[in-house]
Order: sequence, then structure tokens, then C-alpha cells
Amino acid sequence: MIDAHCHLGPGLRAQPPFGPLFDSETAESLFKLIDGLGIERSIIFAPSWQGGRAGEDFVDPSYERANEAVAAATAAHPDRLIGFARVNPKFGSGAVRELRRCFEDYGFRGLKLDNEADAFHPTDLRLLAPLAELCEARTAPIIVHTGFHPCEPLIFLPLAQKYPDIPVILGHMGGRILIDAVITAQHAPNVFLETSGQMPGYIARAAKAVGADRIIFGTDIPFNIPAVETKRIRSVGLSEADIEKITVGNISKLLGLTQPAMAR
Amino acid sequence: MIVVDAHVHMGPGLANHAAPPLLKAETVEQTLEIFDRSGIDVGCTFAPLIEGGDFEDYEYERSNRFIYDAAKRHADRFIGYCRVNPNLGQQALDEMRRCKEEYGFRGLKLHPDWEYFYLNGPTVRPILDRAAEYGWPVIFHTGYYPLSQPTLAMPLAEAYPTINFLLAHLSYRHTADAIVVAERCKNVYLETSGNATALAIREVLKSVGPGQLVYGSDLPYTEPDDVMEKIALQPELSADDRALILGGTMARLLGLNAATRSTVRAAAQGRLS
Repeated sequence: MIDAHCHLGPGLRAQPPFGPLFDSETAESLFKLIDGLGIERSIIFAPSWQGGRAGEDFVDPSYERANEAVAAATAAHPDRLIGFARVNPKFGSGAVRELRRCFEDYGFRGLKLDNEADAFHPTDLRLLAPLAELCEARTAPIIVHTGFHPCEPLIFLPLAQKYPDIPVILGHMGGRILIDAVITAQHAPNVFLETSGQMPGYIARAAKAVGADRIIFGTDIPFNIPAVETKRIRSVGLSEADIEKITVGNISKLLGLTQPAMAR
Repeated sequence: MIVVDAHVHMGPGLANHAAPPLLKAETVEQTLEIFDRSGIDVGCTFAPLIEGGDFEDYEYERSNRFIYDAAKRHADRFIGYCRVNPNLGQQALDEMRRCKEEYGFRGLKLHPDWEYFYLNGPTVRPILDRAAEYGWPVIFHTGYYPLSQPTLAMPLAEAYPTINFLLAHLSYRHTADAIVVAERCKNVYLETSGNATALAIREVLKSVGPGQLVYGSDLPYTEPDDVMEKIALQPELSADDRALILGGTMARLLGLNAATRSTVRAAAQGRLS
């Protein structure tokens, strides 16, 4: 399996009290966490920066240190870890510079955006254009956090429609607002729905509504329990072929992955 | 300039609310008085939601009848809209027929949250088939998950291209979604009533444009002057666009002729220019 939604890095230490359930700050701690679960590769990116903490002094609103930590992990384990960049679009040219560094120097393969944490308007395409163009040039996916306002799924439709070559992955497939994620996916073939934290019944409904080709497995480690996320995919009545697409095939196709995850 | 209020409640249901509305407009006269002092020429007028208790009118029969009586007496001021509960099925269709054939109503109001149906759910389809047949515009209460978020209006607007849909309240904090819908569906109009902020109105003006934004107040739950001025005092809004929003577009959708205005109303409208 490939986990399309996994957090790693020092930002995890500086989360609010109801933050992570587990430690996935380093590659080693992540591997320990997913040992034996069948996750062969993980797409890792920084958690939302939520302010410094006394004694930690983790001030990283531009995600530079966070991306650096992700890069160190992917460099040490290129066979198991795939890096996605994290930037705050509000930093303008600084965000563009950071994303370019992530692609060119770190070899990252996609971008994670979270407008709930980083407070920007996803329909403001003028703000997102320079980032989207960097992604478009590489057909690099953008995974976004979705749920209730202010990050409801439909407001990512303008981005997806303006950049049809960029796979736009709706993290958590909208959560409770699944129907909006489905309607969004029905209006743009490059929109994909990611499973982390989603209720089993909703995953089955989403697969039925948009097809298993458009569903991508993710865990949201360390904010969810890894074994629960991996088990759920197998417990909602999907065929083996569909499970294969959701857990390996779809994301591999988007990223052009071959070995080793596809050789099964 | 004609001022059309796209969202006016009136009728006996108002007297039965647990929390009384902001303005007292249970009677036709009270409502007209507000129309006059605020400069509203015509109101698209429909029943308030039925809270239950002593006034049981879940089929909206007595409520619709009240609107009919008012519109008959003041045809130049009230455009009667039908209100039904789609979950009542055939009963709702029968009431729609009465509203069309006997009452001459010219639009439909539906409230997903109150009647408990998904805005794009199965019970609303036969109702919309009928609305399309009658050529009625349909105003939906819109707001939040699970029943009334504006995203749900997109598949409906696509399925019923001949119906003009109004999404009331600029969909509360979901204005960004309502904008996405209106940009893609030219038969969707965003309506300003209730707690729509001046900023949200601005956002619609900038992204969708004035042609799909219509003034509505949600009278008597809000103060029409407050809503109207949030539109009229928008920076950089031309007089023509303002006139479109305050009534021009609704007049076009409803096929209204320019109403004869009283001097009172004309004076009240003077404050908007």
C-alpha cells in the first residue's frame, strides 16, 4: 500500500494539546508506527505550523525548516518515502521560492495546502497561480485539507478546473461534507478523494458515486490510528481490484511510480 | 428604478414564532407600511416557516391562502409565491396547482433545513418538475450542511436549466461556494437577505457580477433598510448596476412592468442614490 497522507517533522512537537496521537517526527518513528501494516511507501509532508511553544522556539510559518526535515527523511529512505512540499501561499514570492526549492533541490513530488491552518482563500487563483504553475509543469498533485467551512470541497473546484493537468486530491474527502466532495469530483476529472479519517460507509458511497479510480488511500498519520485506517479500506465491501486501485494503483499512476510498490 | 424585494415573509405563521421577528409585519397593512417607508415597490411574498404549536399549517394551505388574499387586494405590491413542504409529495403538488391555477402565484419558496429535505434530494425533484412547467423562479433557503449548502444547488441548476434559482442569504458563510455555483450556472442568482455581510456582497459583485445578485430582505426577520444600504452604499457600484440588483433583475425574471410608485416610496428610494 501507499499512504498518500502522512505527516512528519519537528512541527509535530509544537502542536496543541489535542494534537498527534503518536510520534512520527522522524522516519524511524514513522516506520515503527506502520510496521507490519503493509504500507510500503508513504507520502510525507509537514504538519500545519501552529505557533512556537515555550522551550521549543519552533517558529516556521514559511515551512522552510519543516520541508527541510521532510527532505532529510526522503533522502535517507528514497525507497519508502515520497516528499510533498508544504507552503503558505500568503508568503507570495517566498512561497514560490520555497516550492521551487522543494521540487528542484529536495525532489518532492507534490504540494500540500491547508487553508484552514494557513488562512488563505482557495478561490483566489491569483494567489495560487504561481504555485499551481510550478505544479502544472511537473503534473505534481496538490493535496488539500477539506471539511467544513472554511475548507469546504467546492471552493477547490475553480483551481481544479483552471489546471486540469494537476491532480487535486481532497484530503479526508470533505469529511462529513462528503456530498460536496462528490459533486466537486463530478465536475472535474482531475479531482481525487482521499480516505483518511473518513467513515467506512462514506468511503463506500464515494467509491460508488465517483468510481474507485478516483479514490486514494491515506492515513493522516499521526493524527489517526494507522491500523484503523488500513483496516477500514478492506472493510467497506470493495472488490480486491478496487482496493488495489485505491491503495496503490491510482496514486502510482499520478506520480508515475513503478518499483517497488507496483511489483506485487 | 423599481425596487423588488425578492424575499418577504407574511402571514399568520409569524404570530406563532417562539421568538418574535424583528419587525411586526403580520398584517398586510403593517407590511405595506414597511414597504413604503423603505422604498420597496414590490415584494416577492411567501409564508413564514410553520413553527407548530397553536398554528398547525404544515401543508401551508392557510398560509398560501393568506398571501393570495393580500396579492389580490394589492396586486401592484405583492407577487405571491407558493410555499410547500416537498416531503408531502402529492399533497404538495396539489397545493402548487392551487397556487398556480386559483391564486395566480408566480414563484416558489423552499426551505431544506426547516422541512428536512436535502436541497437536491429525491422529494424535491417532482416539485421542481412542476415549477419548471409553471415557469416559476425557485428561491431556496441556503446555508449549511447537511441539507442546504449551496454546493447541492449546482446539480439541480444543471438538471433544470429553465428554472431560475435564487440562493437566499448568500448561503451564509458559504458565499464562496455559492459564487462557484453562480459562476458555472447562469440560472443561479444569489440573494442578499439576512446576515449577508457587505463584504460578501462585494465578493459576489467582483466575481460573479451584478447580473446575478438580487436584493432580498427576509422581512420581517431583518430590517430592509439595512440590507438595501449594504448594496446601495457599496463603493464603485454604478447606478445602473445598483438598479439591477435592487429590482431590475427580479423584474426581468418575473416579467414585471415598471410599477407606479407612490410619492412616499419615491422619497424613500431617494436615500439610495
